[in-house]
Amino acid sequence: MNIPKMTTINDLPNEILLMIFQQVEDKKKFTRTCKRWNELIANFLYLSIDLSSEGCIRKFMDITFTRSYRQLDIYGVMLVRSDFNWTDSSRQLGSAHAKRVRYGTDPYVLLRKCLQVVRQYEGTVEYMNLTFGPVMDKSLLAFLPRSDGPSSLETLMIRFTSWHIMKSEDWIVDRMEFISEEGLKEISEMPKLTSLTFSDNRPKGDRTARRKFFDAIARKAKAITEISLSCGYYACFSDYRIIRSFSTQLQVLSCTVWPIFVKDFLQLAFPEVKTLSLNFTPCTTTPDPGRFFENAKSLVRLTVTNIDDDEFFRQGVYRSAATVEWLTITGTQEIPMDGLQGLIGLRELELCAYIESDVQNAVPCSPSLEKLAIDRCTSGFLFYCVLAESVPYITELYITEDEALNDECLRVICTTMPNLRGLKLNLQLFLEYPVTDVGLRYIGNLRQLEYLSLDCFDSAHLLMERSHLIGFDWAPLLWASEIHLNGFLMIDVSNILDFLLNPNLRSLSLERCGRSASMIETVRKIKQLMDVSRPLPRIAAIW
Amino acid sequence: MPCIQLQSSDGEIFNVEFEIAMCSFTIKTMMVDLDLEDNCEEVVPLTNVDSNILRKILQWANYHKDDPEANPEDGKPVDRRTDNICEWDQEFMKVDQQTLYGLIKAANYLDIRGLMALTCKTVANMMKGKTEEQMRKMFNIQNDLTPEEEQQIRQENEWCEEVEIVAD
Repeated sequence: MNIPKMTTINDLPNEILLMIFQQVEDKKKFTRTCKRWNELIANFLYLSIDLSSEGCIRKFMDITFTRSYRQLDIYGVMLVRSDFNWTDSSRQLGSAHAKRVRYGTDPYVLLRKCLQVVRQYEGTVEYMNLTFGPVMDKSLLAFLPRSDGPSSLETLMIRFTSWHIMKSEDWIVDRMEFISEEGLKEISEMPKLTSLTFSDNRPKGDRTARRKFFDAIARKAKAITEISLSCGYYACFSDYRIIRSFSTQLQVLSCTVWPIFVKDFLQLAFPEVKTLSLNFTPCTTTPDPGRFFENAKSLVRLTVTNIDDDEFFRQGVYRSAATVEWLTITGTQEIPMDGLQGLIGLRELELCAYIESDVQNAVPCSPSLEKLAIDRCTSGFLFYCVLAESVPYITELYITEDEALNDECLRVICTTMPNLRGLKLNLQLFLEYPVTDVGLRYIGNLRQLEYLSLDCFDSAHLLMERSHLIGFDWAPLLWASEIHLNGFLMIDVSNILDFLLNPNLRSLSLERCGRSASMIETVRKIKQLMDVSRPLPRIAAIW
Repeated sequence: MPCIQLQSSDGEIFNVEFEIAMCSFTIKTMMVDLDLEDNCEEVVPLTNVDSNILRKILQWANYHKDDPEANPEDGKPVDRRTDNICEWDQEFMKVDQQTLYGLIKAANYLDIRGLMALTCKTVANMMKGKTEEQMRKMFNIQNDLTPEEEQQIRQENEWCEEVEIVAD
């Protein structure tokens, strides 16, 4: 008799098993079930090599990777210290360079191992994220793909992190040179590379290495649409060159503009760019933007940092960046606001500053604006009392860093802007005139309010000292259905009940609220009570 | 109510309302391509689905016929939640593994997305919190890994993280 074999899970085709695994959390351990599962689940894993401690480095020297991965992260900030004691296994790896390793103190060995891994995966890896210390500079090019066929790399991120906490004598950095000029020819085509991030926040770096790296990318990758560059040391003309190479196809660009190329940069046309973020911090003077913004016909999100020239906004951004919907401006000086109406499609505006900045007197004026975020100091009451008139259609207002915000400001906001649907405030109790109960009570006026977020950041000590300034008798008056509180150490159970009295409330989240973790337990009990569908028992309290 | 006739692999013929049969994209495409919409005489053979499974599927499709149609191209992230199965479905999924895999294969072949999600989630829920040994036992899987291979996987896993959502 022919008994049909029982179907088991492994009779399902790969595509279905993959669909099932997609739904499983914490599936890494199931790689040990059988060979097939090991291979299938590897599709959901990426290689994340953290070399930030010497223990990890020692382990890394001994491991061989056998599975195939599409994403590779190497976090090699520590690399090795000069007194690092190499194990025997690592010496074997470096045996071809026995001379270098003889002293037992050579980070070259570790770099070779990192490179081996990169070589192993350059056929399959699509996303590569490398974070390194200073030793990498000269060997940067070695990390570009150099296999026979075209590379499958889609995203490449290189980061150098600051080194100031460590003494340079601790590191051997001068012997790293893997690539000769001829070696550059070996770099393979990168037809799929669309996104390049290069971020260097060290105070000093090798500009030649940077230039060679960018030139190699520009030559071998043709499909780049996203570039993000930042650099902590002076002037890299190669930054300009790589941006120029891709200027007509870029959709996302984020970069620091240096005086050496600011003029040329503003002559470029970016017809496809949708998201643009420009940091002008190194430029002491800013040339006329000319037709720059006029030429960026697809621009939707614009971020401009540290322009001290009002005309740049009046004649440039506000006049010609007509398609912009999201605008973020950061500046230490006051940000000019006249002419903002020129941006007829503007929906979101964020005004930011670094510490120690001028007061923002100028009030944004825009008939299309829906959301305004203020992350800087304003002139307080004078600023807020005209806001309703100048941005009549905003429904979301976020005020996070304004030291001038006080009860009077909040009163005028809540009485003149009844259409607000989202409100986010950062309360700073240490101020001489902080927002108190008196002001918060006015939030009850906002009948359209759906979302309210209040943050209270300060030292616990100071908060408790001034906690009498904030009670919660205004909580039942709120109309918002979603409320988020952060940092209110003085809140207690009866205050939470005050919030629950708001009949619209659908979600209340408490972050770092209450004096101890028992708040979590309290909330759990309240939820338990609310789940019970019986009439509440008679409760009497006698004191 | 217009009907369509579906024939299972073991020859049984099911008279099915159009509306219910349409939950399967495979049948839907077939009917549009062959212009069967006004023709009730035609019998559609489903060579990969036996009558037991087809009966279950029709039962499921009948219960869910009024569900809003999910558009797979609306760019929503993949639904990773497995605790959002309604009670009827939970009851419906109380079947032996044999039937469960039959349903998965058939749902995949007939391209019924709701049922596919339900069955995958059910299997995923069976895996939740299990060790690999419990897993082998439950699913009757032969461990074909040598101790050395297991050791290698264990070590290699230490350097791996799980990706959130796999792009195609």
